[in-house]
Amino acid sequence: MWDSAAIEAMRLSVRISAVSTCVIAIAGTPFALWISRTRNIFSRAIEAFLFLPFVIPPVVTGYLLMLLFSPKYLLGRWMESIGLRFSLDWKGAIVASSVLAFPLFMAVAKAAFEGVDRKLEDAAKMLNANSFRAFFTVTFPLALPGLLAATGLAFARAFGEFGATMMLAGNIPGQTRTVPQAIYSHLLAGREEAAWILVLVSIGVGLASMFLAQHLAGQRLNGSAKGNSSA
Amino acid sequence: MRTGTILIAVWILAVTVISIWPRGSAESRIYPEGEIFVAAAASVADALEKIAKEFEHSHGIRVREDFASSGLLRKKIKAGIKYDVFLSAYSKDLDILQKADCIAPKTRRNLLRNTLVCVVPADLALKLESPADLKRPEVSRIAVGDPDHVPAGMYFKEASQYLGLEKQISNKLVPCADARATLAQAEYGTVDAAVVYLTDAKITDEVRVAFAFPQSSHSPIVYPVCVLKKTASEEAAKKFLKFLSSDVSIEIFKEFGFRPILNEDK
Repeated sequence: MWDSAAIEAMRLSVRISAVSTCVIAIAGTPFALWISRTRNIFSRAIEAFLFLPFVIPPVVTGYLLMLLFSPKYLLGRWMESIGLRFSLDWKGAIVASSVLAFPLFMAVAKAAFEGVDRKLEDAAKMLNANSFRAFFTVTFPLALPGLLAATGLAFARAFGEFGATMMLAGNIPGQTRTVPQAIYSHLLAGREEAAWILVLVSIGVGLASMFLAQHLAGQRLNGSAKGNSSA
Repeated sequence: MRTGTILIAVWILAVTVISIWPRGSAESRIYPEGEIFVAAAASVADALEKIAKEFEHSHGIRVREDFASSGLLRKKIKAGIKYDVFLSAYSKDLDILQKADCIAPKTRRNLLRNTLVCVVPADLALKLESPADLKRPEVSRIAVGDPDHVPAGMYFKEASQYLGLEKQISNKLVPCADARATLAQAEYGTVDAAVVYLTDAKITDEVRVAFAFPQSSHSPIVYPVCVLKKTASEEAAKKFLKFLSSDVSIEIFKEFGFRPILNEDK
């Protein structure tokens, strides 16, 4: 039942989504802060562009990534020459799931920053804290539950990534055959029983991430309810 | 606010109109003699579409097609999906269906032969001359049909075992969902080589044939065809089968690089 292929797929999925989530959280947190405080056409355009993978078919994102990184074209060929390959490679799976899970992180993290009252940070500055200190002692701790919820959701989204990963990274056993890809292969080959184990794993991971996010979001509500019940 | 309301109204209107828009005009053509539903291996798609058009014109029977890997189609047939005709790239699929009593009696026969070749992206300088070249380190990715259910992949697996390559190239293989998906990887240039049928290689300029696998290295690539037992239009299905051996069809199959099997003993 727990055949080696299923374990291999789970190991890959966890590894790929963990790396993606780290990339997203590290790049996404400052970015979310920036867009939560900037209201010009430039920031709106970048936000809309990065949000696009959330609303267009994943296969379209995957196709465009595939073209971008194909060794046939400029960028891919150059990367190949320095020994870096995304096309049909596990690193490509990380790129695909990062691109696809980023919008979710961005939306939730932006809301988390927007939920923090700027006056608190201003108050800290009046008490002689520099901007850096005011951010890390006031805004960041208050936004943290929301940021962690965003991270949990991004992990779940990365874990479930299928369409774009299929196009960019392929479905190679032991390299890019993640849980969703393994389910797809099992179903194509008519092995429903084997697919079901991974179906349950997927539901389990999704539920766990949702509970985590709900729990953290609840903390945020309780934390800010003291001052403002509409948070 | 008013712009917002107008935008929402336009959006709702557009979605409504598109949702209730009638199907395209191709559907409204009348086929007096009914229709048949053909399940066929992905590798015969182009040839079969052309033949189906000829058949629709001359017989007034509409042909609907479902192209996928033979293994997948065989499973769909066993699961009860009602096709009338099955054209497979793998004899064993029909053996399995025969055992499960899914084939209409005396309708099975071998229709075509094909050749297994290795192609490379046309703009790649890489020169491959024999199966052993696949072991070379410059070849880092080889697209093949998923040997789990794609016949082209099963033939390749047999060949690689026979030629003693299996272990050395196993970590280079990129399994694909059917014969055409395998070809597409070479067209996109994401792989250094792809193992496909000669007929697939012929439909595109973006790949070139590097070498053919020796016929002796794998079981013969034969495409059998049959009428399925569950068919609701057996007469029409039998007419289509007959048409597949007509001069018109044979010419089309040849044009796409297949080798039609003529006067075969049953």
